[in-house]
Amino acid sequence: MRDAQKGFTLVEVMIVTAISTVILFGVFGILKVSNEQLGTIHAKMSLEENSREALFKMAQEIRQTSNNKITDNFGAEDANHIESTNTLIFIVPIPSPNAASLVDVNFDPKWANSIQYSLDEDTHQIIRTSTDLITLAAKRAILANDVTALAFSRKATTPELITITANAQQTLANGKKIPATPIQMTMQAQARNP
Amino acid sequence: MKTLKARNHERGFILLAVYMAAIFICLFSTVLFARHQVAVQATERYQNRILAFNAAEAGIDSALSGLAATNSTLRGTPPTDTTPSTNLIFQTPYYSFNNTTNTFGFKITYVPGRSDLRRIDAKGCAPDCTNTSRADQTSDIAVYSRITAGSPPPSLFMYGIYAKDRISMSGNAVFDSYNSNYGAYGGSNKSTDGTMAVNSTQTGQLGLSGNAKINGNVLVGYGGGSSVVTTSGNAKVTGTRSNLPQAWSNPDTVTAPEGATAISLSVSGNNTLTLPAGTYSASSISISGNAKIVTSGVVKIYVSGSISISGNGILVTNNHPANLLLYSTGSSSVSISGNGSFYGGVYAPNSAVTTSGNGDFFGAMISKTYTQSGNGSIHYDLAMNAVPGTVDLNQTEIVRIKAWQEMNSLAWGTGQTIT
Repeated sequence: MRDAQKGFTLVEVMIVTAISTVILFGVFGILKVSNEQLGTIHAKMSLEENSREALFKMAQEIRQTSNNKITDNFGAEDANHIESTNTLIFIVPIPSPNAASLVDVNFDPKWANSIQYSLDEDTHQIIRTSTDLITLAAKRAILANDVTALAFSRKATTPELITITANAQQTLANGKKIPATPIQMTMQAQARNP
Repeated sequence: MKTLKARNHERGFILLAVYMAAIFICLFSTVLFARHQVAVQATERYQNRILAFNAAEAGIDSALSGLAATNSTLRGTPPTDTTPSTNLIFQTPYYSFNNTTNTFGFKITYVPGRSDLRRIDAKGCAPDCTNTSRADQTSDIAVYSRITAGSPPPSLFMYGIYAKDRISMSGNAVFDSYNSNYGAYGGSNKSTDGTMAVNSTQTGQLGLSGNAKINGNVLVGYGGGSSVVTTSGNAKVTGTRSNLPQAWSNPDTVTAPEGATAISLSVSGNNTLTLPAGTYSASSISISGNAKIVTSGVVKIYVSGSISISGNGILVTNNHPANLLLYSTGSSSVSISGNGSFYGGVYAPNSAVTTSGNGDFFGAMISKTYTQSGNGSIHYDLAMNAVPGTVDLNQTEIVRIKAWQEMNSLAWGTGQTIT
């Protein structure tokens, strides 16, 4: 009975503590690596999600314009007759169900706002600038972060079809780039208005 | 007994270690699962947003299709009352989002004061229109459409040869048809399904002489009698003779689209010019000597001046006439000669077009006047019937979009005011 109530000896406690410490360090080491991996995956997913969201928003607004309302600041055509720019400027009507906002007296689109998409190369952000064509009141919004390159391209034969290409890559505080090679995302939008 | 108790102590420590490990694994799994759940839902929302937009556009397409049908009830009768109780003409039963099985709906309304306009409002939703589904997304589109005289033709080249004023064929020319989708002309790929049309009612404006033969049908201007077609020598028409529709109007003049690539198309000597697929504009076309133009894919060329094709002509991809479309934007002459065959479509509604020499013409043509001489025959490619019309060829009715607007613009109004 006394044997059963006997405590651990100092040596036993030290050995157990040492073994536990080793096991815990091992477990935490594995957790740390796993957590870093998870962080990387999460960062990559966030990058994709944010870029995709920005591309969708841009495509949605490009659909509102007309191919002859897109400023022709596209550069020279390449061998495949594709011209491109990193700043897209176009005008759109106000997206309101109210007919007075949507169309003019001839029931043509009532062009009301100028939209510009560009990349701030210092902050790696896609910037949307909208300007009211009458009051000239302007707004600036960030559509996406961690974008390292942005291009808009179109083929001369189909000027209403704009292809948006964005490269996304996050740089952590320790200088590590996630992912090592930027994710490239592409979306096409067709200007729907005549 | 002593040994057994010692083992019990050891078992307790292992149990603790197992609990700790299990807790770590649970936490780890929960975090991982939660993150993936968020990612899956985000992706689902994104996909549904695209689906909802496509569904809304399907609603617009459906409404436009309904409006395009002649005497469609969807057009309604515009109210004479300046303040009608309702402008609603038609609404799909599921427009108000109360149906679980459909994913889009639309309504059509009158535009007060404009009998030629209709407004279409379409809604699309994904995964369905219950508003309670997971990651539910909706899209709204408004369109102003205009119903006007003139409908898109079934095709740009619905006739093998069409001339506004006059057609003259002599020599040994034969007009017939084939279908380039079924291979090269010849053998069983020959038919008499093609039509030659002249929009004139005056005597002799479709003149056939020598051994000229039309293995197909003939149409003349509305009201024109049999005297419009004259034959002499061995010339003859094997098919039917009838009239163009009463509401027929001549094809419109075209202009080069803004995006057309300006190019010089004057080649001579032994030179070869290669044209990749695309749309081009040129002041003229001149091919002479042994020179030739080689095209790759579908090439459309808008020409403001004269067109003169001789020498080795233009080599068209797969000898498929629909791969070369020549548009004359002015009234300068069009001449196709030489001994090589020509494959393509010629749209020159204000030009005098001539084909001569021994080379055959494969494709279709629209002209002001058409003169054929020599031994070259004309083989209308029935596949050209699939070339979409870019201009109105006849006068029924057409529904065109005047204004298109998507309501759920996510970026609209966002941002900080710039001072």
